[in-house]
Amino acid sequence: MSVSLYCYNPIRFSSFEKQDIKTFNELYKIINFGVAFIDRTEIIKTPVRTAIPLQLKLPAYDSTFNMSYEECCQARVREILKKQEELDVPINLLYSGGIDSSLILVSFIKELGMTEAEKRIQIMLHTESIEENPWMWHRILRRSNFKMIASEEMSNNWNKEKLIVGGEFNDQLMGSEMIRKLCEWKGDRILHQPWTETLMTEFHLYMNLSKEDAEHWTKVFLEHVKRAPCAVETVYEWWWWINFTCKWSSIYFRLLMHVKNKALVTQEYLDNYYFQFYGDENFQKWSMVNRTHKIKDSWLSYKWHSKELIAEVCGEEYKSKIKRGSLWRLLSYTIGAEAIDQNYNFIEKVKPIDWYNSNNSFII
Amino acid sequence: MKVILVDQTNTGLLYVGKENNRSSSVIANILKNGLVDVRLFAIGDQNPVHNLSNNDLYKDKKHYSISTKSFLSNEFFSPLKESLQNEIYLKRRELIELRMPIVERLAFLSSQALHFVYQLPHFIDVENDLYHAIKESDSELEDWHYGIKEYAHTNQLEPKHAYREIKLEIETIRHIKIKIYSLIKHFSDKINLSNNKEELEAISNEIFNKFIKDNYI
Repeated sequence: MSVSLYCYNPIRFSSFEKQDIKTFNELYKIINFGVAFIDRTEIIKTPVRTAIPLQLKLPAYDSTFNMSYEECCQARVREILKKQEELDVPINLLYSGGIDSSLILVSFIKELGMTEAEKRIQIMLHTESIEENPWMWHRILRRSNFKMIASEEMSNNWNKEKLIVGGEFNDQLMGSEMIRKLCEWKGDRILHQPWTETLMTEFHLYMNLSKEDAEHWTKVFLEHVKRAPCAVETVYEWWWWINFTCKWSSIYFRLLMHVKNKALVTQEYLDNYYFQFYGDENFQKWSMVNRTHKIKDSWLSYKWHSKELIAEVCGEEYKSKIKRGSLWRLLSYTIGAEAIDQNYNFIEKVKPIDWYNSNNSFII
Repeated sequence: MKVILVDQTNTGLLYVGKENNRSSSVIANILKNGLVDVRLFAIGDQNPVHNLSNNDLYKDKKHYSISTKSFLSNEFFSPLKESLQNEIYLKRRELIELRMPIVERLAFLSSQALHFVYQLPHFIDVENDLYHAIKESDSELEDWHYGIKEYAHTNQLEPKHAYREIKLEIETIRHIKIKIYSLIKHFSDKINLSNNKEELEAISNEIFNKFIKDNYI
């Protein structure tokens, strides 16, 4: 059986002259250029031959799941601390100052108390992290005894002497920045409207897809959404589900694509030393069940519950913070791999034709 | 002030930068590195060549010779005789015409990227002084350079916290600058090793992807 890709840089496939690839690439008028779109429900077949590693498979829907988001955070903290005790290495928290990494820090402090957290966690940060969350900086970090490391060092310093904890996947649990685009299109009121095929095609047209491609993508998404194990009823939920299922792999690997010590990245390494905090089974089950704690009625309320939990430590002002991307700072201006295959081989120069999948959902 | 490039096989003018433009100087240096026997001059606005531009050379297809003996006189430049338009010179003009737009793109995008670098407020030069203060301190022995103590005192921090804060800022700034510099070097070499349009167009796309598109994660 031929090898497939776990992740790839889609920009490298953009000049591939085939009708199905062109239709597929129209997607990048809607989502960011850098996202490798891989459906982990395996309903949408893309023109790129991909596979999903075991750790990224979608857990089964469990309608009886009743842990709160906060309980999921604390359970995840305990799991990571247990792993740390086993390996006896420090935890390096990738702290961008954004909502996701701020909540991780808060959760660790809640679990351990400040003194113990300072001993066990090292903060990898950027000067932007200070600007991103000045309350955390002035109230907690600036006079703390946390060891701090410039996150710019990150891609040069991957090894087994630390356990990496990052804040990826919270956006996929909550809906992602796509929600902002929806609100720009029709205002906040669009979020909780029931989706219709016409409405979703209109959105594609608003994002500058041609009529034919807009309709085709609606058809592809519709097939995907209809087969969701949980309820997907509103426009907001439609995009949450697509993000949750189809961006997961890309998000997991985007940091790893920039690792310089490539030989380090094996299944054993990923299982033991690489933790994207919001990616465990509890959080995913929570996301499939919960309909109240992700967003209220506006883009500004996106991740409102996460912000409330952070505000317990950073102060009330934090609740007015909005979501903005901060990871690009870490990965910008470096040359990463163009793909990672399912044997964790890093491919520096990808040849699109080698990974073409003719059995895809975009042959019209 | 403008920078110009002059071919040393015949003193033919190869490139004229824009006035007081830092990028022009970067562009001229990159182009120069890809050719041999080419000299770079900086000329003031009293110099007659100052009125020329690359459009005169490449759009209007004119050829000029530069006299390095008479920097300020009107004889500083004159039309380059056809007999002096040798093969090497003509090949260089062709290469510069091909490479220039790609080098301009590289210069613009890297300069734009540098604007994103966190800058220390008010006076950028302080970066070196702070780096010195870090280098002259020993955090393990808690032996602090006076600069660290001053910063700590003013900001009501312990010296170890002041040291950590300054170190974070300086390391971040330096690291980003090095990343951008490495990319400039990487792409300059690629451009200067390339002699055909298709290859250069591919490099141009690669530059755009690296500085812009790849950052949309």
